[in-house]
Amino acid sequence: MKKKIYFFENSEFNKILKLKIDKFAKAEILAAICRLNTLSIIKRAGSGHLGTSFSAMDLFTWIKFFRFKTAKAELKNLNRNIFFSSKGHDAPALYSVLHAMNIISVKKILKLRRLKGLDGHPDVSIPGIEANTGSLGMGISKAKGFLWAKKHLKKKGNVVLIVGDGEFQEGQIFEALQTTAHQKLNDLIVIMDHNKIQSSQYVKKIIDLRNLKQKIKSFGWHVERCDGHDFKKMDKIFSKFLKIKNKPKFLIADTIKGKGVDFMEHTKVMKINKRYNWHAGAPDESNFQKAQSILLKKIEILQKKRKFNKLKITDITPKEVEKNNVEIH
Amino acid sequence: MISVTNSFTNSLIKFAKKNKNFVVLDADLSDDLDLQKFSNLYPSRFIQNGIAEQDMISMAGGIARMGLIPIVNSFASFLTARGNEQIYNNATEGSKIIYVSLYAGAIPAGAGKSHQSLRDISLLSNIPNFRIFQPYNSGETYEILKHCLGKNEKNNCAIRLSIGPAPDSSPKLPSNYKFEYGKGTQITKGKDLIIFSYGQTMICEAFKASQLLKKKNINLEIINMSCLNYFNKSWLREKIKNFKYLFFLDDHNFSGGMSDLLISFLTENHLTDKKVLKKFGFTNFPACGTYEEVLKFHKLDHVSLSNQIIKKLKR
Repeated sequence: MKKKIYFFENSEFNKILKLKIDKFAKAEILAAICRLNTLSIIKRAGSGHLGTSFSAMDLFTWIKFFRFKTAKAELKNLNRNIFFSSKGHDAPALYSVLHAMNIISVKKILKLRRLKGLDGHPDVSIPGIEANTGSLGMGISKAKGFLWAKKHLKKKGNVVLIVGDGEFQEGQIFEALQTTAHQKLNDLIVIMDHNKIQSSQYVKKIIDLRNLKQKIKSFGWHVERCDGHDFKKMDKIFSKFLKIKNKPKFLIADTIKGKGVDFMEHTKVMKINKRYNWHAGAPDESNFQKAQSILLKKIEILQKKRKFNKLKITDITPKEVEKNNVEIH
Repeated sequence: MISVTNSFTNSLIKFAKKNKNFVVLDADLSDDLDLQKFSNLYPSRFIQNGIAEQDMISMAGGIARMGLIPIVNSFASFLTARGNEQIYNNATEGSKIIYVSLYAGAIPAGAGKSHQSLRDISLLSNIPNFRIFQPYNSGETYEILKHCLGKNEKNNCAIRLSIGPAPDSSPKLPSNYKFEYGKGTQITKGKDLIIFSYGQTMICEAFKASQLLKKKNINLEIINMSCLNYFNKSWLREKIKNFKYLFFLDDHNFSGGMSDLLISFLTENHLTDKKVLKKFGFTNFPACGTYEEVLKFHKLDHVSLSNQIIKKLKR
């Protein structure tokens, strides 16, 4: 018997958002479901970046659903909050969140990496995508462009950016850190999804970023650091950021690559393996099923804990098995 | 006659009053474009980004996504080569940006090959939805900038600008000159052969070559092609129908310049049947030296050009 691929449609997220529980508890549930959806769409596509999608998922969830929300009706409003990811290969996570917010349709999201579907890396033709990214190192420059234009046009709204840690090996990053501070684009908020692993190795082994906090500070930024899976902590820092007006803001969010599926978490993988093997590519059938059941179990635990009705689950198993895409880092 | 660079900034200032939609970014080369004139009048529309071309280009991308038109200035060799991936990335977002490819071509040749830009047409012309221009003189600079800023132009634009005054013996554009998208302008009328070129340096060499050829009773028609990668087919068909010999002269590397783009366009449209074609351009790294020395070294001065044309005709 063929194993199933499951998915939660956007209607189910609305049910969670309506629950009478605090926003941190809601975020935990939303992120858990988004992780399951991310796993499923990557499996269907045959390729995609799981590790980085999972490490960034809690950041995406908090930013998009709660802190710097942009509703579907505001996507063309120049006063909207502008959020995007510079590393870009975490697109499956962002797409899952945008689907949950009813911005990307179910029809589209099931066509990840397919013609007329969703590109492997973000593309502005997709609703809710602000910038074409994925070629590393360009994000801070682009974000400061958005912010400069907002100020020039006297528009409201925040500009918030996710960067990777591996991409801090790109020179353009340091051009941008320097110019952002000099040009006093102080409202910019940059968050590093610091999951410590690039393609398959520790960042510190490939090219060490050394004292990151000190480094970024020396460029004239206000720098904070916290657990990137702790909604309360990151929220507190965002509140603080919005009060600081004399410097651009940088949050180093310590995350775990593959967070949410224990056997994909880098902290566990790197203890037994020499390389991290969940950066790119869809998991094979048995690993997929293992990961899916872990994520479904997590949702079930949360359902019992938060006492909400069972959510409707959709079977998205393709009729024919897709020929797997080639794994590209 | 004012230089193309001065004309560019003067034109920019002229347009800025009515068109509030464009802003200017610079990588510390505003002196060479006299951009301070603009930034003094419109400080809020000018961004000094320092010698950080990649950052400047991506920043322009973000600005363009907010609906403004960024005009991005640096030397062509740095802007289009170092920032090529950033330019490509911006282009994939479909927003319009105008790139100023300053110091385009081999002249002035004193700075040497790190600065002379002979690759920029090839680096930009393979990006979809990109238009590359080089104005011949100050009047054309105004027209091209006006075109690029206009609503009808949806593509990314690059404007190649020569640095320095126009050569002394520069021919004038015809009195009825009008910038027409995709069409060239006739500088001299000829009947035996036709040469397509652009920019103040090469048009002037072609003009001086035509004077030498005239003494031998050979009439060279010179066409100034200010649109370097977009061509009007019916105009071209009409233009070349009476000529057997078609010559092409680039202020760019021999491969990947206007000549290659035009020849491939003509061939694609079956316009080269029974024609004899020859192109001129830089076949090696550009030499350092004076104007005359360097053009002579590369056999692109008017004497070398006329000799090579005669040789081709005898064959």
